[in-house]
Amino acid sequence: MPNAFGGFLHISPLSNLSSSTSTPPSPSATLSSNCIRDYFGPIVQTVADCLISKGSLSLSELIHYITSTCVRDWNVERERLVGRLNSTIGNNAYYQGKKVHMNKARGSEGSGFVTEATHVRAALLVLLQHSLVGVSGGGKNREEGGVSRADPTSGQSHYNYTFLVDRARLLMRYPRYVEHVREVVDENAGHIVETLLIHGRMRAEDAVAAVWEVVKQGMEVDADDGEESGKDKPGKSSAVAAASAGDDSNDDEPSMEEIEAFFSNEKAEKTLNNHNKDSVKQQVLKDIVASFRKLTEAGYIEAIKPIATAQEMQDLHLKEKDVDDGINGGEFEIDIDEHGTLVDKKKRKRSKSIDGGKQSKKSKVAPQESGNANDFGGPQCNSDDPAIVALLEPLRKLIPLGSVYRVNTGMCHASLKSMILGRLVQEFYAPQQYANVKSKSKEDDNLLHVGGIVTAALTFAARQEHAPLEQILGLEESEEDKHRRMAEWGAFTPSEIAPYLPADATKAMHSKVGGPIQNLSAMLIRMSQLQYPPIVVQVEDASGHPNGGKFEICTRQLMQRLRDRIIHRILTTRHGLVAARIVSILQVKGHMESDAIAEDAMVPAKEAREILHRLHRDQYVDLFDMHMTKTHNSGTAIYLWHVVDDRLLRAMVNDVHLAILHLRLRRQHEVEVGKDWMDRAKEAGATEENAHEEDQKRYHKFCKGLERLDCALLQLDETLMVLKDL
Amino acid sequence: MPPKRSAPAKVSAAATKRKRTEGSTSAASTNNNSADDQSELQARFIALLSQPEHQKGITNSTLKAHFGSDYTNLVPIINELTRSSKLTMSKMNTGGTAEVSFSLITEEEATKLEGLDAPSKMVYRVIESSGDKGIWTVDVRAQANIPQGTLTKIFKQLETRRLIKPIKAVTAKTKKLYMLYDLTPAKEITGGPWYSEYEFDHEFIAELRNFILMCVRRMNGGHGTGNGVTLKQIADKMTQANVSRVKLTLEEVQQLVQTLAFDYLIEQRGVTEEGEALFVAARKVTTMSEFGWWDVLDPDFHFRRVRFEDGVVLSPHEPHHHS
Repeated sequence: MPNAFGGFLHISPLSNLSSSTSTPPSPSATLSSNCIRDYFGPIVQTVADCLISKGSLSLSELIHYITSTCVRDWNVERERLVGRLNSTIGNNAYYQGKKVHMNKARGSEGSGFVTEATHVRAALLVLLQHSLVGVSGGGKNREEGGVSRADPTSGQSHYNYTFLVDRARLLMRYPRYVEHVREVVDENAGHIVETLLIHGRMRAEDAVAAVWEVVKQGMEVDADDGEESGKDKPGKSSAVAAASAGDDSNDDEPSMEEIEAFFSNEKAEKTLNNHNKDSVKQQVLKDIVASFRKLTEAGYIEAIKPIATAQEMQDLHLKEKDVDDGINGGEFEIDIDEHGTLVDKKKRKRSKSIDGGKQSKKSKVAPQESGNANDFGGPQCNSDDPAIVALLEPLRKLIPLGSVYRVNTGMCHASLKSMILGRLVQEFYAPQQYANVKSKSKEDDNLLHVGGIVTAALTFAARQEHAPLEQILGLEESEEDKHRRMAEWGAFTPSEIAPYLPADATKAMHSKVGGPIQNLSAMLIRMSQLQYPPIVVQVEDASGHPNGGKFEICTRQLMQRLRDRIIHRILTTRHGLVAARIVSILQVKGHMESDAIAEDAMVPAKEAREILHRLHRDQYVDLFDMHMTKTHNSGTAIYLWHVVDDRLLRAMVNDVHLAILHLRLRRQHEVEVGKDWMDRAKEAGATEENAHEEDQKRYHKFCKGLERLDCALLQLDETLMVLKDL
Repeated sequence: MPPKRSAPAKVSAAATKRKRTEGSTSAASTNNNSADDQSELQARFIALLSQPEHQKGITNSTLKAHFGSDYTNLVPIINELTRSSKLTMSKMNTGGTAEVSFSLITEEEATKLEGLDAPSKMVYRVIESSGDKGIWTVDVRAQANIPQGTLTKIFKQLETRRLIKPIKAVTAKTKKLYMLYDLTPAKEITGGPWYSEYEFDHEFIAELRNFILMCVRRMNGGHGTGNGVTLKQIADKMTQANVSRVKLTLEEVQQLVQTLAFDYLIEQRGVTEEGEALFVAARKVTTMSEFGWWDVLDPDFHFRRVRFEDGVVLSPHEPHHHS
């Protein structure tokens, strides 16, 4: 039985936090570190912590810092004896040819203590694969284009790795991205995004294959359920099966609903097992590829430069057979002595590079991470499913052969922002109860779809920014065109946003006199007249404009409005309504004395002073101390309170970070403590005789506690997203 | 103040008249009748003090320059006038140096202060100078430089004669302040309509805020709808409904409306042609900040027992179990 209260460890040897109770100097970095541990384990956390604390480091520096921190002093004599034993181990049957290892670390691997360079490198690869570190530097050799090319065999090559704190923090938001994509695109798109998020980055072929596996498993589960339910309710099952079979006979390419229906009964199962199985697979794959295309066009996933090209992978494979030092990815081949420390003097140029030393360092380290050359194998991959390759073939302009994709979190955020601001504007301006009551006036009619229009306009802007068609298709774009496109981000004409409008808004505009574009233009003009808060501005006058005018959404003002409301809400829940009012007053009026604040907030002066000091302690308000004499005299000094908006926001974001960190730690500890309940619940589920009523009650209580923590974490992450990431 | 100086002005006019009528004979009789000289000198002295430029007081040096050799003869006159509470002495700052100055007291005031000794009069002057804001007893002692025991007696004497009254400020209820009996305390001292008996009236304010909120909602026909109402309309409605026991000014109503705006309960939706703000009741907005469990920020959160509203409990963890 695990020790319920022992072994709860959440920091690495290089964490900037000494205990769970101390307040971290940078809650954001500490939270990121915790996320890394949660998702990738303690060793990766150690590497991430080293990069956080030291800044930008090369691989050799990283290995040096980590091993020097984690290594312990050991007895030289003991080491000599172990070495001697290992040299004669072949003759001793007891050891069965296995070498004896000495533990050279100060702690266990489970606690993040690493002394092996290969482990550090592997952890770094995990971070690279998931785009959690930035790479800078390179070789000094320049090609014709002036681009710095890597030459790992050259002494001039130097790569530095920087941990991306804000990106690591997004790990806990991945489920939100999946859910959002599922909502705005389709179910398969959700699976694709989920798969890419789990793997960090993948080739299109691999992603489609992985998603097919997921869908197939889901179908099998559904089929099993259908079989079981079919046994209970034979009538219903047979009816559904008959209907499905009928549909199938009429159509060679059944829809997803039909396919799911197939798997929910026995007859469909039989059909799947026969010749229809292939056609179902073909149809599902077609749907997946279609979703993949949609995601690419919408910018939710982006093509990135692969860590290694196919040629580089092949070269590395050949090399790996010869080189077994475990440090293939470094800019130098680094020798490690028996004590686990790097021996700089033993550095030597790598001489086994096949292409004359023009490979990047990143390309050399990739296979170690993936463990399978096919993961990034490119066109030469023979293991690619021919069906998938055939489906992707017509899309090669959009999805080139061997291209690697990852989820574009920027687009996910932009899309979420468009929905959030659309809802905000709808709540601000749309006539209330319009669904049930006929709107009062014609003006109200114009504002019925105000939220949908804002969402459509922001979606269009997000597409322009994250997925311009020219860029996706790899078309040539002159510098001038590029600048014009960038300058016009956010500006739109009614016809440009029309395709993104919700169905009811489009229908309403079609039914009106003048046509959809003209009506949309009229709506946008009406919206541009609203000033509390402003939603739309006319960039180009609509009257006489060939495209019905050019408009732009006041995104900054709307976001500011939303952030103000969030700050007010947080202050209200944390310090009370009067504190929130005081902060609002200071934001509007600037520097003020406490008595004047009390008068404006309509509270007694004493209460106002107490609240101001609490707010000052939490760094929400600042105090300006104006001395009237040369020496400090509190009697004559004037104390002015004020709010610095950036500082207030920073303090608020830090508090949210800290709250998330505390909740995550508590949850992790609860899970550690509740292992017993989970084990017992599993046992009880396996055999009825182990079921105990009291145990079940406790287990449910435990699960409910975890649910509360999860719910709180989701709420906080939502707040953080609006305050910091949108 | 000029109206209060009317009595000495009369005296001065009489003296001038007398001076004019007796002007031709005064030179002849100067050496013979010293009493007449004294009264003439007194009349000249009063006439000088009654002049508008000297109503705030005349310095000793000015007197010397004006009267020349007659200055020494002024001493008994000044003493007599001071004794009869018709003249007051104070220090005036002239060019960085403090100098004794003299000013006349009105008849009415002189009657009030009649019989008071010099320290009492000085205390009265200090309190008078504080106006309707009052002065703390400690400050009176510091300014008048009178021992506490004597000062207490003086305060009692002045209170008995209904010349001064003790008051308390809402900002410092333990401090005893004094101000002239006839004056009404300033708003800063009483706290205005938001205080009753030196206590902040939270309930009264809450009632008024609720009324305004309801008023804005009803006048606009609901949350976030309507064209908005002006401050004047709200104030009129409050007067009409007689919600306040004291008459509220437009500024005070504005103060209440502002607090509601700062709380995001009402918001501006436009302006009238005259530039007046139009208010509507704020609509409910999804703020995406539903989290309200800020105890989690406390350093000992990990070791706390947490109980949710529906009885779900997270048991406390022992500190030593954490690494």
